[in-house]
Amino acid sequence: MSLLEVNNIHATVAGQTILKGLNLSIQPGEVHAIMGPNGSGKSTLANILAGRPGYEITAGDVQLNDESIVEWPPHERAHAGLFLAFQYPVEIPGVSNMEFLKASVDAHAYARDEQQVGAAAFIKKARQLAESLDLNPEFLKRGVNEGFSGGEKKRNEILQLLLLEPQLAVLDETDSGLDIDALQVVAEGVNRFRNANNAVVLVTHYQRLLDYIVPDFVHVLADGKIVQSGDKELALKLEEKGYAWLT
Amino acid sequence: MAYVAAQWAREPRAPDWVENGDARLRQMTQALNSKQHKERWKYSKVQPVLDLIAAPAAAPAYSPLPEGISEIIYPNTQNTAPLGPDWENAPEATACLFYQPCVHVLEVEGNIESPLLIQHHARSLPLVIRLKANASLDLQETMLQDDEQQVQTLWIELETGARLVHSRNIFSKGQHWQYLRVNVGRDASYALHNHSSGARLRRQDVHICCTQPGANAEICSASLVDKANHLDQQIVLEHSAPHTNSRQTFHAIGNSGARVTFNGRIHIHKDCGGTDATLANKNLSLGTGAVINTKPELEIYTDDVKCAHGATVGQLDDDHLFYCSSRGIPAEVARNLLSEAFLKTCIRGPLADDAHAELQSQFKAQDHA
Ligand SMILES: Nc1ncnc2c1ncn2[C@@H]1O[C@H](COP(=O)(O)OP(=O)(O)OP(=O)(O)O)[C@@H](O)[C@H]1O
Ligand SMILES: [Mg+2]
Repeated sequence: MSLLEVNNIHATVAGQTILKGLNLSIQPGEVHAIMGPNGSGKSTLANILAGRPGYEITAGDVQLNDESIVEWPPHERAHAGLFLAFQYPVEIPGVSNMEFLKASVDAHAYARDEQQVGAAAFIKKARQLAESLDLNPEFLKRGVNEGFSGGEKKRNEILQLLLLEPQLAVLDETDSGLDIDALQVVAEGVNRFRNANNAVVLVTHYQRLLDYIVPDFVHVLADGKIVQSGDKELALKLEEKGYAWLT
Repeated sequence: MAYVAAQWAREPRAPDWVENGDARLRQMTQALNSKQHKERWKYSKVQPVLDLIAAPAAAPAYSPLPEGISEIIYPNTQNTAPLGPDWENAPEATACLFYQPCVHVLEVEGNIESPLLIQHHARSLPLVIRLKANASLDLQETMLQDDEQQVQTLWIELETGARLVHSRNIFSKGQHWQYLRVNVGRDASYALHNHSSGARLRRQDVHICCTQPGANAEICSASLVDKANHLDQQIVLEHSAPHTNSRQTFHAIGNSGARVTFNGRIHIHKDCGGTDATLANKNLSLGTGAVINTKPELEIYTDDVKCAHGATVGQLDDDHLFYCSSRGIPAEVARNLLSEAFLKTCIRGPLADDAHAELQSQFKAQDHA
């Protein structure tokens, strides 16, 4: 059984067709890297998977664990195990990080009919995770991403990943804007998350990340379609030659 | 239609101690029918308030007065009221002084450690709080929630170097009118933390004057107005001396069918150089059919001042909502979380926890669909 099946999807944003027949099949335990030129539709794919309003599927299907999710609202997709690390995480002043994380975890527990985690245990866990990602735990008291640097926002996304333990993590350029040390910290976080039952989709522009998180597959997305797939050698070749030879 | 004060409509008589033909009766009638007055009461009905002004009132309940605070009761209020009558700007409040048999004055000396708690029930007699030079006080004002008709007038005077932190949590549901007048003296500082909900009729009149150099005034206000409820805030911040500062932030949420009015005027007199005044009013309109009127106004008669004001009416941010839902937070929970956050940035001071709990429970009770 596939964890994720993306079947010939066509999708529009603001009346423009961006995805034009995209296929992707992901099994548990796998890491898929998606590379491709700016504007080719990588973030659109990520948003389509997460169910962002305004991104419309006009044909094709997306199945998570053999169930079509295209009609599901975003929070139900999250409950079903989907997680999107945003390319540009938003700042939400007034909602503290801690409060936001607790609301997320509580919502997951509620959906699964599980008991909520106690506040004290939760705070402890969140602080430990922050420390493990080199984020000052005091940041958890601030508004969500409020005043965070670019790199801090990305680490905060990984913190949420580790807290929510989804089945499928879609990381949209989580490596962009990270310094070399931060890149290692983030990669270590993703590797800590990985197990035989979950899977990772890495959207990235840089081969460097793939030295730390070794992909099983590398796909090239161009003009709304996967135009080439291979193993990590493909990423090296792209680094060397660019995308022109593919299109 | 000509307005008449209080019960005159039905029972035309002045308070016993006022002689017939008293010039003040004429003054009052004139003020209540002036153009400015009609402008100030464009969005709320004044007659229900006038009807309450002359009704019997009682002193509000306050916590046992700590050492340093003394109470004086003045009879015949209008002649002895410490801040004096102001027919032009505040005819209703002045009428309260005129009709009620006495005014309670609290005089505050020194640094008062424990907070002074005032609880209003129904109609409160006019109250004056005067902080002597360099006195400081933490004033906490609340009101019983179950009274149908409530009226309060409060005059505050801060002498040189006095400091007052004034918090008010106002969550009653009936008809409520509240007048607050504050004079801030030399190097004195006044902070108001105002937390309120809507009611069948809620009208908050606030008039703050920075009267001496170095005076500093701050207002931070958070209001949640539910469907079919009404909130009308009329705020005047007057600078009548050079080198005075004011900061005002008002956040309000109007749920479907709510009516929210904000009118905030900054008035900087002549020869008030070095004045720095800001006013921000932000409104969040939830659901459909909330009516939100906001009008920030500037009246400035000095060149060398800093003054900024702005007003917005908006909705919840779609990107914020999506970020929440992508983390598994259902839409209605996300909307509550984000709306609360919008108010929370203006919920401060010693009554913040209570205000937060109250507004949170009101959020939970609402449906924002
Ligand atoms: N909300 C939107 N409104 C209008 N156009 C959009 C929107 N989102 C994406 N697009 C357009 O869709 C196309 C694909 O954008 P997308 O963000 O998916 O590219 P990308 O592959 O992630 O690029 P990058 O590498 O720069 O992140 C672009 O032309 C972009 O302008
Ligand atoms: Mg992108």
